Amino acid sequence: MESKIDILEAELKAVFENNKKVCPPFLDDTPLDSSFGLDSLDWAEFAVRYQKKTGMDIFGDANIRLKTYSDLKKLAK
Amino acid sequence: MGFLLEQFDSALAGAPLFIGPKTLTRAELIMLAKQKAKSFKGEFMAVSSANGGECVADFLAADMLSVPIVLGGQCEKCPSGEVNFFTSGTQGKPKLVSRSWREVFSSVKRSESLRENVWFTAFSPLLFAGLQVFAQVLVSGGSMALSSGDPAQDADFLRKIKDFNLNATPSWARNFLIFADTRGVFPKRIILGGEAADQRLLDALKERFPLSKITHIYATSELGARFEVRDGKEGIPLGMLVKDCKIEDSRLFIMREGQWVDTSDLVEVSGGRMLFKGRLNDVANVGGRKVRLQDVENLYWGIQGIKDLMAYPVKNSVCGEIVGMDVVCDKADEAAVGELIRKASSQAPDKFCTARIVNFVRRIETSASGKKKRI
Repeated sequence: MESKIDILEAELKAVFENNKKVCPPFLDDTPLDSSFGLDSLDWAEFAVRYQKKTGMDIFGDANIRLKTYSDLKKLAK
Repeated sequence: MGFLLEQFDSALAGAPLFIGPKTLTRAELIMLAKQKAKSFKGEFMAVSSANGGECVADFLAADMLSVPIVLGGQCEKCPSGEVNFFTSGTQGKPKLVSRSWREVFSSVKRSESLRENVWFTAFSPLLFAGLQVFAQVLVSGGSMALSSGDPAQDADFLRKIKDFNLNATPSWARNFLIFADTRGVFPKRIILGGEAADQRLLDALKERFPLSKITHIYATSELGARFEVRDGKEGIPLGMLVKDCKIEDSRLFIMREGQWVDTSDLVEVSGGRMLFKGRLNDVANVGGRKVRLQDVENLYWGIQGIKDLMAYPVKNSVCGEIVGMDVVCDKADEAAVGELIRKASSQAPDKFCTARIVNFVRRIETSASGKKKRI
């Protein structure tokens, strides 16, 4: 069975690919700011895809603060 | 005797009223109605059977007893009109609307040329559109058959009928073209209603059925039938709009009993015609931007291999909604169509107006009234 982290990576890659954007390396300290390459519509697409696979609304908590890729992984766990 | 029974009595006799899996003649319907009237108790008759003949027997029984009918649902108290039905709900929650039988029959054409026609309809007699087909059939002395809901089965049935009139929504017609083997099927007239018919569909129908007369009708449950267009082009010629109509804020308003009624239809004037651009509620709120779902669909319609599609809003915690889209194409074409969709999205002038989630489906889901089910 795919882990949530595997799904996270797969769906993020799909969003980059769908929108013909270059996918950065998914390292723990990779910043999630504009240098990451996704805009708000891309993140929304990712959230919908991730929820479809896991049932989890990854950005459902309005108080989350994401700086790096590791923060995103923590949300997925 | 009520208005309906009067119509029934004066209708041209001979042809059965219902054909299809179970044929019911006019005399059999009256017999059935008398039995129903005998055992009826209550203030109004709730009609919910999906069987067309049963429905009509209920209508006649109610008329014999002078009690109102309520189509397709229950209501708490006895309604005032003779015919009470729920709107299809495309403008939100279905509303109970009351009409007299006289009003239902008001748009019926009384013409000898329609005598003994077979009317094949995708509209249930429980809906206003189906009720109008029933009224037409009754007055013109023809026969009525209801769609089974399965395009292949419908085509098998229609192949056995020499010629017939077809009444359906554009969504039904699109599904029919995609899934039915239409060889040997010869509709004399094709009458589309309930949704806007676009040029692609009108052209496809003309190509498949070159001898058929194709009409698209603009009608609503509340306003009845208002425009009938027969020139094979989408939209409504401006010449038809001179009376009782106005366009404000890109919305169509129609006069009814001295009041302007907002149809919630978004329209645009172009090339001497009023074109439909979707419903007021057919929008996605993408990060505060109102995106018309029809505009999104239009971005992809030209892609080779796409047979049907439907855009709809998808909720999310980031920007409220994004646009999702169901696409019908051959299984073998999915990868190529997917790539072309991605290309069209990346080249779109407005990225808010693109489908972000794409699902390949066997068919587009429609509501009980045969319209695209976007939400």
